[in-house]
Amino acid sequence: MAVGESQLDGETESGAEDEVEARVGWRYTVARIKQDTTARLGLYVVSFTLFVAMYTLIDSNLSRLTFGQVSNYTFAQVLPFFDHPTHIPDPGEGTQHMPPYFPLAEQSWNPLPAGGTLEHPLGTDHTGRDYFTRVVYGTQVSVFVGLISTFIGLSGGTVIGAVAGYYGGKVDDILMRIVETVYAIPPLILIIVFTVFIGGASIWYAVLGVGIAFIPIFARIIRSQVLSVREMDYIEAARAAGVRDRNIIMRHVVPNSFAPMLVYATLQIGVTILIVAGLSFLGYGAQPPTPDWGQMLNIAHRNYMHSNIWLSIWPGIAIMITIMGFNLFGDGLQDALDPQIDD
Amino acid sequence: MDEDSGYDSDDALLELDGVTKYFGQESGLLAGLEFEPNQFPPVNVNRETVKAVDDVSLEIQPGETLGLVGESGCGKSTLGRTILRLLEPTDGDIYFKGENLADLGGGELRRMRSDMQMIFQDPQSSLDPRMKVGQIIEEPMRAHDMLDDEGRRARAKELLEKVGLDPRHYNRHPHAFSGGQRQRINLARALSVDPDFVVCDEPVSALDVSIQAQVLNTMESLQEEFGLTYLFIAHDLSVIRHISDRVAVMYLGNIVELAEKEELFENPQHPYTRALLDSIPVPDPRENGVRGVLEGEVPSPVDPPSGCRFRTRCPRLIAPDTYDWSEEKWAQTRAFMRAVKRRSFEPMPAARIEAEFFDGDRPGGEAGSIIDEAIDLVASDGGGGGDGDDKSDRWATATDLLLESFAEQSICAHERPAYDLESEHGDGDHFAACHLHR
Amino acid sequence: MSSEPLLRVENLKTQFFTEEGTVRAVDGISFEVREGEIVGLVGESGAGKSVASMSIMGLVESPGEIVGGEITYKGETLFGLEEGPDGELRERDDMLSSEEIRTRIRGNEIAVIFQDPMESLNPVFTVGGQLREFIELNRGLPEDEARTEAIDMLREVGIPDPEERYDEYPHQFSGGMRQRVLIAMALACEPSLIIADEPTTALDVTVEGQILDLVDDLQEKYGTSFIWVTHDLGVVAEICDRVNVMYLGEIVEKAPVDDLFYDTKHPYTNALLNSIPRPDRTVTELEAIEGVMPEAISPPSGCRFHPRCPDAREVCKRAHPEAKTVADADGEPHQAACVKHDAFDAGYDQSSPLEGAAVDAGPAAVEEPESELTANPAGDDSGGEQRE
Repeated sequence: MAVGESQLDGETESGAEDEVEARVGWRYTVARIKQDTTARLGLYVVSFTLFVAMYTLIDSNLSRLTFGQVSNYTFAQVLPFFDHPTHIPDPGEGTQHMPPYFPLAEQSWNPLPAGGTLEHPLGTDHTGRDYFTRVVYGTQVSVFVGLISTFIGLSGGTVIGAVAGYYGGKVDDILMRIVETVYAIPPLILIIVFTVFIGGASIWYAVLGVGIAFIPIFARIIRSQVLSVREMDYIEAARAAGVRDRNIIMRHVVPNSFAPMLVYATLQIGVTILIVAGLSFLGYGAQPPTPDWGQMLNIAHRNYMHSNIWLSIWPGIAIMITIMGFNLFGDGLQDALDPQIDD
Repeated sequence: MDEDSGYDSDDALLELDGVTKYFGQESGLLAGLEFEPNQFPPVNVNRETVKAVDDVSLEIQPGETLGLVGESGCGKSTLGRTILRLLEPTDGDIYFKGENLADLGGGELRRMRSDMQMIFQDPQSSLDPRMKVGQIIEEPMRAHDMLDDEGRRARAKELLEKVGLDPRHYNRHPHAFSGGQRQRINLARALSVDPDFVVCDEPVSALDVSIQAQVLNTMESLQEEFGLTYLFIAHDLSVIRHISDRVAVMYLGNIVELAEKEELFENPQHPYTRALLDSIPVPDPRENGVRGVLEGEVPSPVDPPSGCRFRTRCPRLIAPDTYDWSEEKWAQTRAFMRAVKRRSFEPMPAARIEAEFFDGDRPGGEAGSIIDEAIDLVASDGGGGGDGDDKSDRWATATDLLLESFAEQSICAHERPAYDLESEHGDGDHFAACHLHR
Repeated sequence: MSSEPLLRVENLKTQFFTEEGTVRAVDGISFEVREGEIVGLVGESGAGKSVASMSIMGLVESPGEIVGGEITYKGETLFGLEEGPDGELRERDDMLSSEEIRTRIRGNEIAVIFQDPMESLNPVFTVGGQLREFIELNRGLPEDEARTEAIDMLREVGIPDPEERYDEYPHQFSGGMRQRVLIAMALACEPSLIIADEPTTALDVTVEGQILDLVDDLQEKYGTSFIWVTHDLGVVAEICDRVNVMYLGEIVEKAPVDDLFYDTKHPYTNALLNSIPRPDRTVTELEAIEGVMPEAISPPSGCRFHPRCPDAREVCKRAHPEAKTVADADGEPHQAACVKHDAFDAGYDQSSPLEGAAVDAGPAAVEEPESELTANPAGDDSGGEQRE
């Protein structure tokens, strides 16, 4: 009898309950993603991208990845993702608003073509830096830019959307009108405003700008989710039980509204990467010498479009694969998190 | 566990005094603004409200079950939520253990909530799908800082057993349970903070009949064990008859009758209660009574009828004093008036209308001439035969004429009824809101 | 009139092929509907009553499939299988094609009324327009005649002021009025049989009363037969002539309505009657049926009701009873599928009472037996109350 009781009370529950657990939570989601070929591909690409990004952040030596040393430029110059806003030499009054432009003066030799040497499988750029290293390092910038600005958008949007949706009424009215005002400003304008009036052109401002520009989108999505979750009886049950509003939002409203947000955020990472690459391409984002795909495209396209098209193609492929990965993963996540699809 | 009600006063546990809840039609910055091109400025602020609960007063004694019954849209759920102040009352006082809930501020109200809980209708949506059963049951205790982690866990498991579930299911998610089991989890959650009063909003109506009985039995034994007081909201009179001590019948935001169970079911004094009781299909093929005794539909709660709200459908609408006629003539006039209002007959010659509704012998005097006029408006050989808008207008005119001359003159349209009667069964009070008892 | 019934269903089997296994939603039911009568199909959710009625209409959707049995309507085969040359089952030659069933049978001969009128009416078209189109299609009337007919039908089912309301949209109608529209639609082609699938469940009692009255009147006028699918024994007592009680895909009792209530022969029906609260008298103690209905994916051996049956004995675990005539009710057979009756001769009397679930449940404080817990395994998403 005593044995039986201790089994009842003990932690023996876990094993037998696994099957029951299966329909909620991470393990279940991952299991469902693995069933879906496209989503699995997305998962692999995203994992690989994240791995590369983390790896380049930690291991600055990169010797194994670069097939040898990088000629002429030290890693210290290649590495710093955390660049400082480049203060453009002021060419004179009135021209301040010109996009920052890295002068060709630095060009010291002609870029090596792709596949030129074992040491430089993708050749070098115009300053003699190993192009493969730079493309690989570009992952770091792109991924963190995507993650950080999406995180800014997501957290800002979640707070605003959840509060507006949960409380409704005047709170909702005021918050959503503000959000709509921000929504009405195109992100590009927002970022240019940041760059020009707050500081110089910098990847940080681009990230912040894109993040803020996305807050309204996230806020609106989560609000609409919250509006439906709010009507659920368990929310009312929590209120009737005397749970504080803050806890209701944190424990019930947000977790139950979050699944579609997660999907959207994943898709949004891809979009963000693209936007920031575009900004860098225009000169508003990452500044040389930071290796960023958009910025690399910018230089390659301006100067070597005809002489060495590969300089444009490599970062282009990198952007494509990364974005495709996040999109596939997002789609798969959507199916996996959708409670409607029951097998 | 606390086994008594925790409230040792002779007074009612809960007392409602004129509780009223109106809903605004819309919300938003520009809510209620309407474009009116015919005036200046061309906007109009629409202040329409849905009068969901209107001036409800009642008492609930400790340990009893008060059944609250009514059809969908009558405001019974709104009343239940307003009592718990999940909805803000528009007006009125709610005394719980002598304290007016309507006056309580946020913090005080939150503390008060450990004494009153709620059980919901929908077993699917009342449990957070992302939480485990244990967390669900512990949440109210956590909110009121009851016990420590270990204590809460022990109590949750004990409660699971009390409501008839296996304590080993502590770590399961709600989706692993059937509807009846989920309602039991609901019960366990409500009981976790040891409340005195539980509002049960249609707790068994989503369940299969055989499961209903299981859950009802559990609720009854828990009431006994924990000394609970229930407000049991349901549309099913059979369930109400089984579980209640006293029953209140609601119609369109008002309580129309309130009496002890036996008295209400055996000696109903309000025409609406009677109609409800006549309508229920009895599971007995040898008892084929009347049914479908009520005509028409419930009016909109935006603009409810004056006086007695049931008067527009009441089969026993009282004759206006202005005219002198027999009961039979008034009944015929009433039927004719409602038929015109609902346009439930085809245009036919005046003589046939008269034959159909009045057996060819319509009331005389002033009333007769009004009826004449109305018949003329709708008869096919009068003006009612035409087509389109004109015909529509004539019917509307006839309706207005009849309603204004007869229905609006009745005492039922003037005064809101409220009468206390003698009970035939038991010795409790019997409240009936019907002028037949004046 | 010959003795041939209007509709005969024989040994109908409908199964759903899911990833978890085969769900035997309807497992060998037989019943018939005669002209002008209302036949009840009663059971709790998951009993298979809706699937049975949809099978008759040929409206079972994948992964469901009718795998056996025969459905005969007015002498025509709606569904029938025969053994092919290689021993495999194939559809019989005289079976109507799905095209024929769609054009000739559905709507014209057999009509359906569903539980939720809002789902059966398209919210973007006017009520009258939908009714008119239905009449046009099924009866081949020109538009203006169909319109007149539609207005007449609306009046017939008690919609006030039908000419005005013809142009209104479904959301402008109340639940009861929408159900009336559906009845009008079902009656429009004067079918011989109407399948009513819980038509009053979503309605308030007073409205339900109105609808039952209407059905009574119309049935008298048109002589239509009904299959009335419901879980409400009150409605059954009010309206049905003969009743089939379903449990877990099978018909366990079949009797004229009076005998079903007053001379109940199957323990399940009996338990059901004892477990419902009554509107007409105060019942102090409800005798709840223990446990829940098991899943149709893995039904219990022997009699499917035995784990919950108060009368269960050892033999019930083994012997699977087919419904047999156990009593005579004024010339009508009263059938029940329970071995306790003499007609079965399965040795019930000699068999020892089952050490039932009630014993396993332990302390009396928990009225609910273990069986509910165990009989309802983790993934009940394919079973339980959601299925219907």
